[in-house]
Amino acid sequence: MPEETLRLSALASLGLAAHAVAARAPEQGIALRELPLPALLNLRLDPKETAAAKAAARTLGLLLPDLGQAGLAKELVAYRLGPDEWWIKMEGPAAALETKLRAALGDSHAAVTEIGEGWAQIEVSGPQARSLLAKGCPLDFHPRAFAIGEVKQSLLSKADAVYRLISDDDDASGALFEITIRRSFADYAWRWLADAAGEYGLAVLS
Amino acid sequence: MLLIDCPYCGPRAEVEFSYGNEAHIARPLQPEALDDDDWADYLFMKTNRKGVMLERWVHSHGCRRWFNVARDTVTYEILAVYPMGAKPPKLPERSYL
Repeated sequence: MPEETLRLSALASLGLAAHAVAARAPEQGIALRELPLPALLNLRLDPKETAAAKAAARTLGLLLPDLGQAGLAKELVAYRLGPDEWWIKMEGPAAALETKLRAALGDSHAAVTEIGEGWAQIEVSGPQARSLLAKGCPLDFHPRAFAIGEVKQSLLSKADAVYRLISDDDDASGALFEITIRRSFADYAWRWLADAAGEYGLAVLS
Repeated sequence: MLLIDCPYCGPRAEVEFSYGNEAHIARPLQPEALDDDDWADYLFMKTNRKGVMLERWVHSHGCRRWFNVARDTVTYEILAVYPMGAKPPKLPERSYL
């Protein structure tokens, strides 16, 4: 992992800070925000190997979530991405947890890899968030089909993306999605989202 | 558009998947012993069945896992989805000849 001070935002070239505001105006349907660069660990293990799964769950302080779900624990989130694959996202550097997980898993058939450098995260919120994402993704974003805490991998226009619904209010604040995107696609994804949000009114949050 | 029922993610749009051609073709145990014709036969000659075809698909923009699909190549109907390494389920015979 490079020095913290040398890490550059994936969207630095867009100069977003210049027109960022503190909050979305009521007439704007969408708010976009670049999230801090994530600290991510990729955890691979076969959940049928109960000893390894238990060791990982104990170390993380949560039950490994089911397919398509995110699990929350103190200071970290676990995303289930496949039958034998999870992501662990946390605040701050991932190295300490990586060491702890490796020690806990010992010789079992499992892998822990730090992958945060390859990804960027964008937060999409607002009453029109579901409509906006539906324009570029074949997933069903209806509240009946995409509930809070769900994690789904799909496309955002032509880029691979991982969607997580963090909160959803019926009132004016709308849904809040976290989109994880390959770092090299972050610029493309942001421009696509900003363009597609034009008809709803876009606020860039700081 | 096909709606393919990924065994891990559930029903998803075809655009998220990639096609992996015919399933259950065993790799020759001694590839060095094959002549060019047999090797070409293994690599390129698929049955291209008119009717129920057993195929491999990968959920390339989703969970990135491979699985098998039994698909009717005439009606595009997907009759079964089953994991890699599993035997194909019993399916009704269909003849369009």
